[in-house]
Amino acid sequence: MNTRNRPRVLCVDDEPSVLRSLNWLLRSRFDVTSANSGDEGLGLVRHSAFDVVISDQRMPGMTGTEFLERVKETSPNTMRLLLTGYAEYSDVLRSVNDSEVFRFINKPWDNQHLIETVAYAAAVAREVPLQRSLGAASTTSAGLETLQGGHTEAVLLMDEDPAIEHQIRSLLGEDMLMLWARNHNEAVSLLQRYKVAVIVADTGAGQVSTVNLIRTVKRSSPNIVAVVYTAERDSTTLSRLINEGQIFRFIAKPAGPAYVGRMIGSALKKHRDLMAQPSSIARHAMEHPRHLALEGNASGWDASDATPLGGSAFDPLTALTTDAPPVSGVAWLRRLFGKS
Amino acid sequence: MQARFQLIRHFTVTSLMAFACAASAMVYFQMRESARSESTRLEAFGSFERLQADLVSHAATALQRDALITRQDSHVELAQALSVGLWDEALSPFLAAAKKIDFSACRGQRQPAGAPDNAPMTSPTCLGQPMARVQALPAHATLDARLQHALRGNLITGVRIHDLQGNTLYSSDRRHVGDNITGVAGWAQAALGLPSSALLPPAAPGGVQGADPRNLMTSHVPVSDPVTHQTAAVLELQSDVTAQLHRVQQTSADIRNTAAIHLARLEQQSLAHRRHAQRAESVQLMTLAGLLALLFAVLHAIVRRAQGVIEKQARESDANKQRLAQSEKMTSLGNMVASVAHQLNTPLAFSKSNVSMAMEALKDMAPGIRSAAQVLDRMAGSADATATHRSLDLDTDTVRSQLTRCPDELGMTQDMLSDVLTGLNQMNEMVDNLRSFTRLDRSRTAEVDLNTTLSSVIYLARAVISTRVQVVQKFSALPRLECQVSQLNQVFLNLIMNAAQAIDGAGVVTVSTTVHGACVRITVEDNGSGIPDDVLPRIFEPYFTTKPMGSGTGLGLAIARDIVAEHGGTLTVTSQVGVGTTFQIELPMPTGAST
Repeated sequence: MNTRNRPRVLCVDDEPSVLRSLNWLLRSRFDVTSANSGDEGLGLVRHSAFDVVISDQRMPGMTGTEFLERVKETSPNTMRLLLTGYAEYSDVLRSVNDSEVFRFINKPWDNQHLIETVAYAAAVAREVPLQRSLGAASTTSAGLETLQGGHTEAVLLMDEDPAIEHQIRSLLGEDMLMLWARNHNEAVSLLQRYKVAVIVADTGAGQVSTVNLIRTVKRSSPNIVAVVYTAERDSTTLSRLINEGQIFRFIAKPAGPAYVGRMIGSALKKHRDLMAQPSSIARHAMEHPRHLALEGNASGWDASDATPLGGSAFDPLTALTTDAPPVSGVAWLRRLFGKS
Repeated sequence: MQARFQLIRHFTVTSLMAFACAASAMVYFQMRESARSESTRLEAFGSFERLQADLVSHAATALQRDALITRQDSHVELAQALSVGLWDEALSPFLAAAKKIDFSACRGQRQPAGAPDNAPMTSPTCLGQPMARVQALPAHATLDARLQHALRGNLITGVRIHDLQGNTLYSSDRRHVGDNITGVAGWAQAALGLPSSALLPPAAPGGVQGADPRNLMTSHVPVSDPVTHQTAAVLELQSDVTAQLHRVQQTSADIRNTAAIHLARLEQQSLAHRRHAQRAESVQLMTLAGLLALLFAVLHAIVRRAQGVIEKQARESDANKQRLAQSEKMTSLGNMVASVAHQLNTPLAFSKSNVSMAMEALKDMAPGIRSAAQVLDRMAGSADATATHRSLDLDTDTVRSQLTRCPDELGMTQDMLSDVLTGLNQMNEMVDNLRSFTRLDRSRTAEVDLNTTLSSVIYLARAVISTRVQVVQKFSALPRLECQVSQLNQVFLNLIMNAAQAIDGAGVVTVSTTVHGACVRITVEDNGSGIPDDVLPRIFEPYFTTKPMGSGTGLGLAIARDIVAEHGGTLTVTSQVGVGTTFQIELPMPTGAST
């Protein structure tokens, strides 16, 4: 592999040993640059293009999520990974909503897994660059009202609470199609009948099946944008939702209507971006769950019985992804792009 | 605990003092009232007695006076009747005759100074002559006869006739004839025309005239001339009133007796009243004392109950406080553990990464070194090669000996690194278990497989308990349960630690899980010393502990039972001394859950 073309990776951590270790681990395949702090990292990002940024969360001065959010603004094309030893709930929340991280990696990491993740992220950054018009900055600031009127797009709510249903319905207004599923079976039948753009779901305490549902839906129709709206405060579940469900936004209950509206609006905007540039879906590819054995997959929503959902758009991708469960991001990419 | 307000003791002391004060005040007033009424009674009685006595004496006096007046009146009547009846026949001639006799000769002698007024003349020496002359008068005899006749059968014991000069002209007792009685008050009054009477006291026994125990009444009645209506003489009548006086005295005595009887009856009645009143008073006091005692008993019961409630509340609040403190302790401990875990994760991360990479590198190097050694070996075989090597200025032998050792050392190093990695993985596991035990970064309630959390707890417990105690897990598949994981973890840890502490020396703690009906059953069994029967029922009480002072709060099992109860489950215990103890937790499964 020629040195010039190697993907550029920036590692940011206040611990020099970690930086050195990452350097040793990644330098065989990537062009690795290190920075001691968020400020130093930002300086580097401003002056040269990086494909992947890996950042620690707890650093003196700027935290990892802050740094990644700034990176998202400065260099939207760069894929962002958060590396952390102890995930605080608020950190994870910010990493979803503000930094829009691609992966959330726990310390200590698994070398092979880390390399594969970085390689996948780098390939995506290289192969699926974001178009100028689809800047990430515009995604976040999209208002809900500007998006209304698209009757073909449906919002699916999965929540048992009628108050939430009322809140979302009044937010979306008459023009938008809103579907309400109280349980998974209802959700499945609705997904089969309608072209769903955004899923707003509650993951109750330890509701593994909801995570699995989102995962399965995303696998069959990656252009559906998932928003989780829940009172649960479990950072482990949340990080799984990021890595394995690629949720776009996380709303903590209770939330004001304006905030929820903004979140759903940006999700709709994201959906349109994805529809406009189907290849960018790769930027939101999911990780295959690594804890299947531990968590026990009791739900009927498993890869084995995932059926192609009728009415979903973008059939080639659906066909590709539903053939077989993806083993890893790299394998998935390989299938998508033929070969690396 | 020791400073707790002793309500019941305080109440008992205070109220007993108050009751004693009230009782003594009541008794004091009662007694004072009683004494007052007694003195009033006595006073009334005394005054009544005095009145009675006064009345009696008045009555006696009145009786006597009446009797005397009656007698005097009869004397006066008799005297008048005599004087009228005898005047013409006997009295007038006698007086006329007697007037001629001179009594003056003896007048000077007959008035010795200090002689009693009515004392009869005892020595009629100078009067002998005139007396004899008077008696010698014929009229005297007539008069005497007539008087004797008139007075026969009468009470009159003596009759005398005095002239206006005080000379006794006639006396039924001859000895007194000629006596001059001018000094006698009765005569003086009668001489002026007014009858008067006097009662002579009984003569003193052994008196001059011999004993005359009779009470005599003497009346001096003026005798008036029917023609001239002038007082002509004084008739003195003497009668015996002893019987009358005696009667009077008897009557007075009767009255006195009756009064005394009445008084005695009154006193008896009053005493009876008093006794009755006293009995009533004592009954009243007893009743009052009984009521006070009842009041005290009621209040005591109320206070005892209140004390019980207060103590119960205090105990509960203490237990809550302890529980809160324990939970705070656990939280702060958990926070510390979490931050330690975070701190450990970073060094673990790069250490593990580096060790893995080093092992990879060694693995990559191994074939190269091995072939290099082989090449040198082969070269050592040919002498030519030595020359070639010389030109390279290489100490082939040294290098070769080093290289031949290399594959061994390489393997050894790889083993070392592999052990290091194992150690790092163990640390990683410990950190993970600590984090999953405290679950600070997880939600409070979660749906979990209890087998997983129990494994984590057992892993941590092994680090703390004696290495001679073996912890065996016998798990069967469980449905996922929604529960407060960190709370249940504390319960599990508590039970496992207790079980391990019950074992003296080597032993086995068995932790098993089964599905039993609609419940998940978790048992922690030890083959330790067991719990004696007298202790067994008390082990779930707050503060009960068998551990030495200071080494346990005694709240462990009480809190454990609370936590299990909060999950709708039960925590029970069976134990046999010398065989072991089994704690059993049963948690209800959600309906519809299945393995």
